[in-house]
Amino acid sequence: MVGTIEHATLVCQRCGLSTTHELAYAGRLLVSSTCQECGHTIERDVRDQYVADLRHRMASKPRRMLRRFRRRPWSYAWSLPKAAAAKPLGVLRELRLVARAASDVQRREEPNRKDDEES
Amino acid sequence: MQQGSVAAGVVLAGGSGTRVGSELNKVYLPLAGRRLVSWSIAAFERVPEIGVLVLVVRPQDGDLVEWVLDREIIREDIEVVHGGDTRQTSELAALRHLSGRIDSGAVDTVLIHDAARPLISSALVSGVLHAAREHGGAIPGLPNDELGTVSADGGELLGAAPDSLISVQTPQGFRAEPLLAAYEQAARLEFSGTDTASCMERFAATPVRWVHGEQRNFKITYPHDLVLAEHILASSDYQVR
Repeated sequence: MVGTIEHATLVCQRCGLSTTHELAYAGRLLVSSTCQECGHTIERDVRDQYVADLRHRMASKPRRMLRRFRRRPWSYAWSLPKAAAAKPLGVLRELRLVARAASDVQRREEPNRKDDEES
Repeated sequence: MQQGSVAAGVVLAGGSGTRVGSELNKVYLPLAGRRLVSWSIAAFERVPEIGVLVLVVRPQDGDLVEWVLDREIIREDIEVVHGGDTRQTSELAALRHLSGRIDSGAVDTVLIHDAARPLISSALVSGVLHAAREHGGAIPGLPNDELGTVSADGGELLGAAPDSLISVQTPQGFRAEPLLAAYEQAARLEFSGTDTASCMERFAATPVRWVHGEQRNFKITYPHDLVLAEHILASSDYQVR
């Protein structure tokens, strides 16, 4: 992945315009999307999926590394120390993002749950 | 069809609607562990009759293209072509790139696909290819019974749209020679169509066959489209069908 935050033009569901959206990813999962014009945000609680995804990424890593090594052995070997050093920080960033989104989703759902219980 | 000739797949990754600046062309957005564009390429890779695969890109996306081809694409002979400012000029650039092989008969059919439709299946690519080879042209689409018609000023609802309307998808496939000729003529007349079929309707007499499209072959337009596409890919264990 180039990074966990990307910006791209998509059509906002709330303002209906083609606007810049900030998209936050944790591994293979889209965690949140925010319209930079009106602030409309979609956020997902992906804790369970993230654990499964992380396990899958770890299991498939050797095969992916081998494929890249076969294709460009020297440039890949050269980039490996830097990539390996940055990995723990990247995973930590993802964990924080997943936790924050999950807590936001729970906070938003809490009043609805209370309303349901009262009725 | 000439003996030994192959079909060419053209994946358009020009990214219409992208603004300038640090924004990513949406066809390079991550989707379930790969970039949008590489899901489309993977579907074409799995069709044996696709002998040539062309990726039409913007020059400013060069680093990203290299990154995607290095990490996400198995096939090593993808031909990268720089497109133009519009869909029409990007398609023309791809066709001109293939023109030598079209003239010699080495490429008999061309399928043009929009990279913003990442969930295209190999079965649909194959279906469009076979129909285009048999009839001259083929476009996938889905019947749409949710459309209505309104008066010219938009003030009055006139009723349901005719039953024969379909929502058009890609890839759109055509025999290569008339397709190239139509695009060259369109360029001379400065015509710019909405899709491949619109140019062919205007400049060629090739019959175009409708092939039943797929619900999952939708265009990524809204943020929730990315979430839906991710769910679909996860449910198929991240495999291209």
